[in-house]
Amino acid sequence: MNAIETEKLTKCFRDRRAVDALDLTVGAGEFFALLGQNGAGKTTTIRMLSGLLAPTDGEAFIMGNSIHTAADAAKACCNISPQETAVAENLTVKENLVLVARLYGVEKTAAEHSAETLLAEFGLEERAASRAKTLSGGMKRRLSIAMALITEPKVLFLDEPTLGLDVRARRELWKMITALKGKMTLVLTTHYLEEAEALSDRIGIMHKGRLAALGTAYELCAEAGAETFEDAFLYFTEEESEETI
Amino acid sequence: MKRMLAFALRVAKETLRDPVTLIFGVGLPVALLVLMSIIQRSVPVEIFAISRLAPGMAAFSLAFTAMFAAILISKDKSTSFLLRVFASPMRPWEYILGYALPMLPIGTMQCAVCFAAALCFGLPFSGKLLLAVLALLPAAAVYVSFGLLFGVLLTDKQAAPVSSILVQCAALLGGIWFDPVLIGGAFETVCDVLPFVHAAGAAAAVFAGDGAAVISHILPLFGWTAVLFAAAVFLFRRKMRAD
Repeated sequence: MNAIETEKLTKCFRDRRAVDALDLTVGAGEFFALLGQNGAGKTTTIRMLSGLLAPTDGEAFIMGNSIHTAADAAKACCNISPQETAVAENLTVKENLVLVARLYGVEKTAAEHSAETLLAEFGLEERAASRAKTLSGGMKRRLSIAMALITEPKVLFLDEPTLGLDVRARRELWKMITALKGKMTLVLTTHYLEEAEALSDRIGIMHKGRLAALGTAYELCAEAGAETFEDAFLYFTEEESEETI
Repeated sequence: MKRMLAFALRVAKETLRDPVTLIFGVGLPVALLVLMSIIQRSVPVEIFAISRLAPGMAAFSLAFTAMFAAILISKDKSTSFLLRVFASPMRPWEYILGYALPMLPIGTMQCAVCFAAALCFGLPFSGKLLLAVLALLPAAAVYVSFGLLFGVLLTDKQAAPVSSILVQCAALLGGIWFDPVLIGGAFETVCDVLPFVHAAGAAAAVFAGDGAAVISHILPLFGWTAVLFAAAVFLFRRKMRAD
């Protein structure tokens, strides 16, 4: 079964088509990266897929559940780690984790057990009793991803997870994200090309709301006739810009 | 229900762990009550008599619950925590009540502290104290509804200053520092339409033993709560769809 399928998925904001008839398939267990410049439609796409935004047109299925007719089931099997850290600042690290599990209907004992497992996996054990506001940027990001994982989603959306982090914190987070590979379907949006290239199985490049290119980093370089992935990215995004001009 | 209670517990913890809650919500009204009571001893003024000042200050302290709710919700928007809540299977009624309900016991606690301080300045200890706290609950509901509305409409930078204006309105138009009847005319009419004067009025009427006045003050507060809460629910749902 495919984890994600979209059919002509479209979102318009007044006159602007933020996402324009997107057809996309992501396999179960795949690590898929969605790249694009600012305003390309990446975040709008994952917000529609995670049930946060109603599409203007088109259809999408998450683990076979329609986001229109089985929205609750679709929501229940996915989770999102937003661009911002999205933590409750005055709660402790552990309380944040337990809270999210409880919001998804997990019993308190089970939530606390899962929280302890994730605290260990994400290297947050020592800070379990610290208020979230006292964490460093990198630790807050780790907590944010752990909060999305505590509900054991089949599909996890990671929206710019390393935005604003220094090199070391970014590399540490990469390791943790890489460890999730194969355990669930991962959809990553990022501005960092090397991140998508290093982590993902396949990459989709969005440009002006459309899927401009799709394939592995190697396939995209070959298709663009580019030596580096950065050149390939510029090819797929600039080419279209010139055409529209 | 369990999800709502888990969320409400989080709201209570976050609010009570914020030092602003203690400083403004409890400290300021009690400090004003103490100050006015000391002045009253030297320069007796009828409106600052403890039987009028105590319900006024208790009602005034409730205005801060609007600020607490507004700041928390607007911050949840700016940090995308609310987005996480929207992405969960929680229903709108669950998180709206989750934000609102913890503010009622917090408000009740603020009122209780104000009355406890007033006991030190000559307010007689009686069953009326408990009744006055109960009579202030509809006012608490009004302020919490204001907080929900501000929280969903305003950014985290706007929430505190706009809530401060509400707190000032509660003080100036709530009959705490002067009786609007003394000014009369349009001012008195405006005060009568707005909820602030009824908040303190309901509790003052309890101390005066005037049951009819309690009812006449509480009814407009129910109306304000219904309108503000409905507006907040409508805007929350719209915000949910927009995100």
